[in-house]
Order: sequence, then C-alpha cells, then structure tokens
Amino acid sequence: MALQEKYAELITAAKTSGVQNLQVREQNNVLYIDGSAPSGATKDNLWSIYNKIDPDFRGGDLGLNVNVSTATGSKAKVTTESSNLNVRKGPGTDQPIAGKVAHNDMVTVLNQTNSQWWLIKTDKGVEGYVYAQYLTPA
Amino acid sequence: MESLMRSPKLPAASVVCLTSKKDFIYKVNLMKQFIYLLLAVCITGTQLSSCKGKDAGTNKDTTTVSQDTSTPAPVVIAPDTTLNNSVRDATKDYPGVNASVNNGEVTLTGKIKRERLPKLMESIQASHPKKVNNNLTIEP
Repeated sequence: MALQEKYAELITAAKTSGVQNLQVREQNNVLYIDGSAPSGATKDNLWSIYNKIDPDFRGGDLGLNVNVSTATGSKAKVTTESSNLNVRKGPGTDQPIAGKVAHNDMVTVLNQTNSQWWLIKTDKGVEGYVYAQYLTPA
Repeated sequence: MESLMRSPKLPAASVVCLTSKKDFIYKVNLMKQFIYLLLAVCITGTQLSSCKGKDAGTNKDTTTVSQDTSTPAPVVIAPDTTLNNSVRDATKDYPGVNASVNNGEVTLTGKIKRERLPKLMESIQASHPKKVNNNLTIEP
C-alpha cells in the first residue's frame, strides 16, 4: 500500500484520463501499472507524473506499462528524432530491413503485435514491423 | 346439581365425569403435544436462524470470492531470453547506454541525456521486466 500512496497522483491520473483495462498491483516491493491509454498525450502525461514523483526513475519501484490503443487500419505518424524509421520483416532489430519510412511520414497500423513492435503498411505499399516508440497514433 | 347426582341417572353422570376426566387427560395430552410442538418449533427456528447465519457467512465468502475474481490479473514478467532481445531493441538507438538482464531485472549503465531518458524507460518498461535499475549517469 505504501507504493500506491507514493504513486497516488499517477494512479488517479490514469483512472481519470480514461486508461482502459487499468491494472494496479504491488508485488515484491514493485508497483505494476498496466493499461491502454486513449492517446499518446495521455501516456506522455502519465510518464511526466512518474518522472515528477520519482526523479530520473531512480527508485526502481514502479513498472509503468501503458500502451496507446490504436484501431486496426488507423494512421500513425513517424516520430523519430529526425532519421528514417526501419521497416523490418519481423518484430526485432535482428530481422532484415524491408524498407524505410521518413520522419513525419504517415503509415497505416495493421496490427499492434506487442507493446514494442507494430505491423504497418507504408504509403508505398511496404508492409513490415516498426518500433512502436517511433509511431504516434494520428 | 345435587338432585342430578342423586338421581338414578347417577351412572350416567359418572360417565359424564369419566368423560370429563378423559377429556381432561385428552386436553393435558393436547397441551403436552402443543408444548412439544412449540419446543420443536423453537429448536428448529434456532437451527434455521443459525443456518441463516451460516448462509450469510457463506454468501459473504462468495462475495469475497467474486471480489477476488475481479482483482487484477497477475503481473507478467518476461523471461530473460525475451527480455534480452527486447532490451537490445530498446537500447539500439541509445549509444552510450548499456543494459544487462538478470533474473527479470534490467540494469542500465552508461550515459544518457536527461531529455532522452523517459523514452528509453518507456521502451524498457514495455518489455515486461521485473524491475529496472537505473544506474545511468544523467547528462543535462
């Protein structure tokens, strides 16, 4: 319960901002918060609160795993810092590169394979997996 | 009444008396049965009420069980082999950051700029580790 008190602001924000399937559990002195955020902004806000409560994430007492739910066929923007984003044949950086998409390009999300890799289709018709961190649902 | 008792119909009166006696005994028996019945009802009532109590307790237990059912799902911790791949993917674009995996715990060492730290942590947390030890040197 102590951790839930420490991260009370974060839990409240998750509840009030429409995070679906919200799960809050404490196990072996680590608090795990999972769920599906309605937008990237909601997820960013939760991480901002986390960083405020535990500066630079030094505590090691929270597992925050909130994904952004995206409907199949919806568009997402490539939000790399500036470089192109690799499109791979499989979900992993050890998989061969099938193509690239430019910074700020739009792609179609075909499947949220897992919280790290999404299957997408580029405007040029290339299908493959990209690292989800570099996609922002439109 | 006296004339009646002295009358030749005395035997009949005796019969009446006997009848009354029988009636009395009958009524006493009825009373006994009634008392037994009352006792039985009381005992049954007590047992029922205790059963009700047990039922209530059972219901409470059921409610507790249903609450347990609605409790969150268990925490999923990825095995080290999966974590190793995920952490490799997550740190690929962060030169200067090293990560090691041991028994579900991810330990980050090296250097990172503060503005890039949240995104790295997001990626690491998305790989379902047991815990993340952030030993990175943070650069402004």
